[in-house]
Parts: sequence; structure tokens; C-alpha cells
Amino acid sequence: MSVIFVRTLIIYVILMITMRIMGKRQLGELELSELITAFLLSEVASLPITNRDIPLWHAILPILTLMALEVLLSGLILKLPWLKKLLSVRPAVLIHHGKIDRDAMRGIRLSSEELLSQLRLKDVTDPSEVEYAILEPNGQISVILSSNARPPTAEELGMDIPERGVMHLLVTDGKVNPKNLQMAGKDELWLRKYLKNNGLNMEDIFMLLIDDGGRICLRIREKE
Amino acid sequence: MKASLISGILLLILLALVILNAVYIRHTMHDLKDLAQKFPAHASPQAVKQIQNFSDTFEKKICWLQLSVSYPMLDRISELGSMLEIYALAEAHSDYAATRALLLDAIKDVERLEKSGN
Repeated sequence: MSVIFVRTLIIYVILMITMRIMGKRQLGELELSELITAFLLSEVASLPITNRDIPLWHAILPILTLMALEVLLSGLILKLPWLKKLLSVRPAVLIHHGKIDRDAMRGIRLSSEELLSQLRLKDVTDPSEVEYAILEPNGQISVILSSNARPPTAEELGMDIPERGVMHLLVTDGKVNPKNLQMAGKDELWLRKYLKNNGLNMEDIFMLLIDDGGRICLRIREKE
Repeated sequence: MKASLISGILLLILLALVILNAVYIRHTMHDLKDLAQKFPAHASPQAVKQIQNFSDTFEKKICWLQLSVSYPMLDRISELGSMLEIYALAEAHSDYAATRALLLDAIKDVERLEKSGN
């Protein structure tokens, strides 16, 4: 039993490191080689956990080999466009200027019902309102609405709206995040001054956020 | 780019380890096969010392062998060695001969697996 436990720990750590090195793309956006690697990794990793007769090295070696191959191949694909063409699935334009491309749909074996279902998931009910619908290599459909169908932008309405950017988390659970503080263009002195002006202590704060426009969002810790 | 370079180097290291492992296993099995082939053809107390020498050599090598050779295969060689010793002591000639043949087969199996990669 202890052997299985130790093997599980070892393989778990190696898989974590492997997935980390292979990058975020493994988690959500799988290309052909990445899909194969993901399947193989899961199969190979489980073998010595469930079967004690198999040496641990019989899992570690394939995991490391798959990881090295995947990273190497990703690097080569960047350098060699012909390789990308050979190995990667190309995006397919399914709707262009409001017209459904039946040949493209036949090529990827997608039915009209499936296409309409995917459009509905993007809050689109009328295909004629779609300027482009593209089936991406990861299987997701990107939808770009025609100008008449999408909401107008602030620029089109002649409005000048200040940039909000993102919210930077400056303080969480009473602890300062110096990196976010710097990214927001603030420093500890500003933070202490803000807290003093509002009669607060650092320990009172559950969350303090600031966006690029200077708008502050503050949540106080609930007293137990 | 750095990750690709490290991956390439890692692949080469893994390949080198695999080759070294294969060479080690073949070399070890060759040595064990030599020892086993020198066992007397008939069961006798003189055979026991040679068999014990074989078992000791095998036990010394097992910690490296078990990194890549499956445990059932190694256990089989170990068990056959023990059985051979018993038959040699008991002077059970037919059992001794059969077990000796099985032991040589078991060693050849490990060699074959490394050669063919199956």
C-alpha cells in the first residue's frame, strides 16, 4: 500500500512539473499534438499507480519524453511554418458576411443545428447578423457580429470615456501586495495616507482594489 | 527558445540513459547467463556453491535491474535460482535439469525484451 502511495506522490509531482513546463495551452486550448500528449500522459502516469509490477521508471521516462517532445515540437512549429501547416488544424470560416458556408461545414462535418447551437451560446440567434463565424483550431467558434448587430462603441457614439484598465488587488486579508501596488503606480506611503484619511488599519481590510483610473474598491473584514 | 533547447538536451539525456540502461541489462544478463551455463549438468552438492554464487551476483545487480525490468521477471529468476539450489541439494536430477533450463530461458527473456524493445 505504501508503495502505491509513494508512487502516486512521485508521479503527481512529476506531472505537475511537466504540465507547468508545457504551459497554459495544455489546459484549455489543445492542438493535435497537445491532445495526443494529454491522452498519453494520463494513460502512462496511471500505469505504475495501479500496477505495482511495473517499475516506476516506466512512467517517469515516457512522461519526461512526452514533455520534451511537446516543448521541442512547439518550438519547431514557431520556427518552421510548413510544420505548423502540416500539424496544426487551420481555422475554418463558417459564416462570412451573414452567409453560411456549406462547403466549409461539410468539410468539418458540422451540422446546421450544431452551428446554430454554438451561435446561441454566443447570444446570437440570427446567422445573418454574423459578419464572421470562425471555427478555431481549439474547437471553439469565434463570432464577430456585423456593425449593425453589435452594440455601438463609445467612439462611435462620440463619447470620451476614461480608461479603467484592470482592478489591481493592493491589499488582501490585511496583507499588502507590493507588486500590484507598483503596477498601479502607487506606493506604501500613498497606502498609509489613504488608510489614515479613512480611519482604517491594515488589519481591518479584507480587499482593497484600485483600477487604472484611480477608482477604489474597499471591503472591510467582518468582525467575528 | 530556451525551453526548446532544454527539451532537446533532455531528450538527448533520456536517450543516453535508455541506451546505457539497455547496455547494462544486456551485459548483466550475459554475465548471469554465463554463470548459469557453467552449472553442472546434474544435480550435486558441488552445484550448490555455483548456484549460490549466481544468486549472490543476481542480488547485487537487482537494485539497478528493477529500475527498468518488471518485478515478475526478476522474481521469476530469483525463485528459479532458489529452486535450483534446493534440487541440487536434494540431488533431484530431473527437476534440477528442468529448472536449470527454465532459469536460462528466464534470463534470455530479459535479454530479448531489451533487444527488441517489446
